[in-house]
Amino acid sequence: MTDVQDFDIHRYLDGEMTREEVFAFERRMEADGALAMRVAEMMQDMDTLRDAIPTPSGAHLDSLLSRAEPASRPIWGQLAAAVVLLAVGFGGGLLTRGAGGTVPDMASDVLANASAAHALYSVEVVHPVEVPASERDHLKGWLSNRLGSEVRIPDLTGAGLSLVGGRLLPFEQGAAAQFMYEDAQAARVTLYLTPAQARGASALRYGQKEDLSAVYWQDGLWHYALVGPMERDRLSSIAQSVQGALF
Amino acid sequence: MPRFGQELKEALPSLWRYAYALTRDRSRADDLVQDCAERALRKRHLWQQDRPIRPWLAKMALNIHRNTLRTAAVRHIHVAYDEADLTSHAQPSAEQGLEAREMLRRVDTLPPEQRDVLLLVVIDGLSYAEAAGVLGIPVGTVMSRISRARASLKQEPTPETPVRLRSVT
Repeated sequence: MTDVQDFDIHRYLDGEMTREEVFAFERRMEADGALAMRVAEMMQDMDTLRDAIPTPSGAHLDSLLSRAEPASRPIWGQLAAAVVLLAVGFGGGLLTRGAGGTVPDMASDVLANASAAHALYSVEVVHPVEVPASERDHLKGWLSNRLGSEVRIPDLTGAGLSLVGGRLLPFEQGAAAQFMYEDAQAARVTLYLTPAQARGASALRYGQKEDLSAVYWQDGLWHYALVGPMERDRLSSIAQSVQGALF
Repeated sequence: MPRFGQELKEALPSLWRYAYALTRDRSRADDLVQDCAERALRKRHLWQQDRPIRPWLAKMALNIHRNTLRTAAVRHIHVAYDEADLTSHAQPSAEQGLEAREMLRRVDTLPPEQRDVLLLVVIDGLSYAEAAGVLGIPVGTVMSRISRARASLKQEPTPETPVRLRSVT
């Protein structure tokens, strides 16, 4: 049998065989030295070919990817207009994580964590935050350090919200920041952010649990979630202010 | 769609290597990868999460590359298509050893249809079924082309006479 006809050689080399087929083919090679030799030579040839092609650094590829991204950021209004509203459950008993082994996705993870943190800390009277708004610069420097990327604390006074302060929180393998704001009626809104693995931009995803609304989005290298005891429309308008303040 | 960004990022190293194998030039590979990434980001709504992204990107890269060659061939009509083919930008670089250069030279002498299959499978790491999808050919044809390609690569180097004649698939 010539190599051209013996597809098993190639299916073996290219990982196209099942475990049983691999086992059988390796037995065949043990019995047939010439076959084993041909396979070894081709394997060597393929290694030579693979080695002949350079591999760029991750940083280089990142820069190609960032250059490939649209030059102008989508304006929030356009993004909101194009929004696909996806109800995402959050808090205990996630809707998206029921039976059926749904792949966990970033939006529901961020929403769940942001909502849990909101529920835990927004009711605190004495210690709602670790670092108060009076130490804004320290808060910014500290969280930027811990999150490994410059954190910006949006000014939301235009939306009727004043900063209470912020804190560091765990998120999956890393960390997240939570900023708390208060309106004139002392209703508290929290902005939760955690660094993304890859640059990206997402549509808005909403979640609702009892009287809490939450909205998630990714922009650039951050995942954001905004949580508060208000209607979705009001939350969206605050989210717009966050966007406006951040960029 | 953070998943999309992640998938795209993870696909880039093999896409770049594939682009380099097509163009044999770092900056052309950069351009090709950037072009593919741009299109992918623009058409992300067409991507289905349960389908692998790499064959999609590979097909884009191959199409863009072929278009580039065609455009170049039209602009320089006196350049025969074969010369304007994938190999014209091949340039030995200091980072490549003698053995590597000889291997690339032999890859260049393969008929284009065999080379296409070989690069998709060996460099981009696609399965036979994925490569068949990219090229629009049956899986059996992928197998026969890759086996012919490997049989040709195995032959002794013939530095004096670059061989262009190969068996028809």
